[in-house]
Amino acid sequence: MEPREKLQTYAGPSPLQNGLFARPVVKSASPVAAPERRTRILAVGGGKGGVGKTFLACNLGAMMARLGKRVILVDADLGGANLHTYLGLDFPDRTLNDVLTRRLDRVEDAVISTSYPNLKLISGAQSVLGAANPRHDYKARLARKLRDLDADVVILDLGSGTSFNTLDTFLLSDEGIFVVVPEPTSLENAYAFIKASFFRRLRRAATDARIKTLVDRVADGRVERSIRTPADLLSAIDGMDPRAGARLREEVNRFRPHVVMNQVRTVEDIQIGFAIRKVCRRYFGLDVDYLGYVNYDNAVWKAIRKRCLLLTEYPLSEPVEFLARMAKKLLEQEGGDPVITPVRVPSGNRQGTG
Amino acid sequence: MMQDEINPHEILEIAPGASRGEIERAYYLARLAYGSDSLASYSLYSPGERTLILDRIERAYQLLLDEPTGAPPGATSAGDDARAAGREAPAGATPRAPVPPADEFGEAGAGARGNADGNAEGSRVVPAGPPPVRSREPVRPVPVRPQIEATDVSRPYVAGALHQIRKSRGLKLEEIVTQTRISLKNLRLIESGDYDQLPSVVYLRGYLTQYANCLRLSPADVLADYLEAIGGASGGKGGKPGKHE
Repeated sequence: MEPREKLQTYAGPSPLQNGLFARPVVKSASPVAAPERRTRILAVGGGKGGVGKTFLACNLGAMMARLGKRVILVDADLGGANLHTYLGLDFPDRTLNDVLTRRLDRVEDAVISTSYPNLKLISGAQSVLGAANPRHDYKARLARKLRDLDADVVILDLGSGTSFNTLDTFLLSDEGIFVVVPEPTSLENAYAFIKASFFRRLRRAATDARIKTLVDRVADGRVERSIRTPADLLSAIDGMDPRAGARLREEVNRFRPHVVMNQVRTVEDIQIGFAIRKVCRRYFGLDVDYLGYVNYDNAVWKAIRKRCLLLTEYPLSEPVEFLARMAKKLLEQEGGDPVITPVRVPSGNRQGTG
Repeated sequence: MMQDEINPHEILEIAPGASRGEIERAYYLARLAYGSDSLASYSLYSPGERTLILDRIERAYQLLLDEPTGAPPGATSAGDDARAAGREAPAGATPRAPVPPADEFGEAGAGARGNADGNAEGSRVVPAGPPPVRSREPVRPVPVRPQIEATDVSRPYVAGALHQIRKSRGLKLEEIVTQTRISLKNLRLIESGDYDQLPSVVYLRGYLTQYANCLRLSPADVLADYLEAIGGASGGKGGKPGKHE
């Protein structure tokens, strides 16, 4: 299909938008609002492959872009980049790998326009040997640069698995969105991911060598009997050094994971999300936000097969409704953030349309 | 005494003084979280640990059931008596019809569903052993709003507009055939705007209603627009249905 034509139809506020997003999303800048601009970095992960991470990343991104946010999608799946395909683009000539290997000086240079207003892309590297394992100093470089990107929201689309690289990329973000499907394999991998990122975050934040050692021991499964869960570990650290314990707790709580249940077929599938939240509170001591769910719908694979975004290809399909709810909720949550940027209304300027 | 050992509200993660509905909801969720075949805690807790957790949940639930109903003296600790009391409580209450699935995502909607679940289960409040969570429940599809609030395609809902809306819903005609039993031929006619070929209005009304439901449009709106267009086409009122030649 012709994305250009669709653009004409769906760019800007539409009746659909007015219906789905009845509340005005664009807030006027209050005089008190600090001029400080902050790019919000979201990471979409989930451990298992094929659960819809990339699908969710690009459709949520496109939805936010439609709501007036300037969004940059980053394909952080360095081994198997394919986000460009979801957006109907051919493999781009500039990728994240060029930034990591310093072939490109600035990360801005790797940003590519898409056919959707407000939505841009940094593609991942493809079939470059070693691309999946960038050196540590490159990653540190990337971390700094992502913050400097000129965007309201940066969405990192992570690869599957719990390799150090995926974890480190994940830890660059402010918020993680875990995509799961109602299958034991998906949840097993998602929990493994949450656990691994939890330990890695703790270990990084810890300054005391004794605490680092304890975290390592627990992470390796060489556990003292009293420490069964990550929540127990925090209590144990409290016992060793209350000040450090409080600081680490704060560090852990600063990060609020979101869970998205994808491919739900029944009401029971939806309810599992609430059960996950309950289990995470007990096991990890983590307050997980159940962001939402997306129903199992043939429209999703039809759109992917056409190499089109679901959002523009089938704007009236049911999954789009659920995606819209989630995007709205995410942006509302940001509203509670003290360092929020006033939203710029993209009136007239259709950037990225070429 | 058992009651002194555990705080049922804490275990079920509800506020003291929670309503019956909230208790049922919390109990349902807890069993969903820690039940023997639960997805949510699989791989985090061993079967043994889950049994222990589940046991505490059952005890907490029984205690809470006893509280408001004023169970007969002596029924507070013995399992069988508590079970009997639990069975009586929902039977005494007027059985409410299951609440239709809420279309809102969030605590409120989920709570409403939880209530429905609780009542549906009323007759076997305290199961012996750990049976699968609500295995007897029919499979309920994911609730969505029954109707699209607004479309990009403007009214009137006549042939061309309906075709466009169906496309953007990601639906094939064949899928509508299986959902409605309207023949492919008639569906094509409805979307083609070849009004002379359409079945008689008596049948058409039924078809349009089903078709509108598939598209999540208001059947009344579709009927009104479409029948007016037909009337206009045959009566020569005006060229509203654009595709009609």
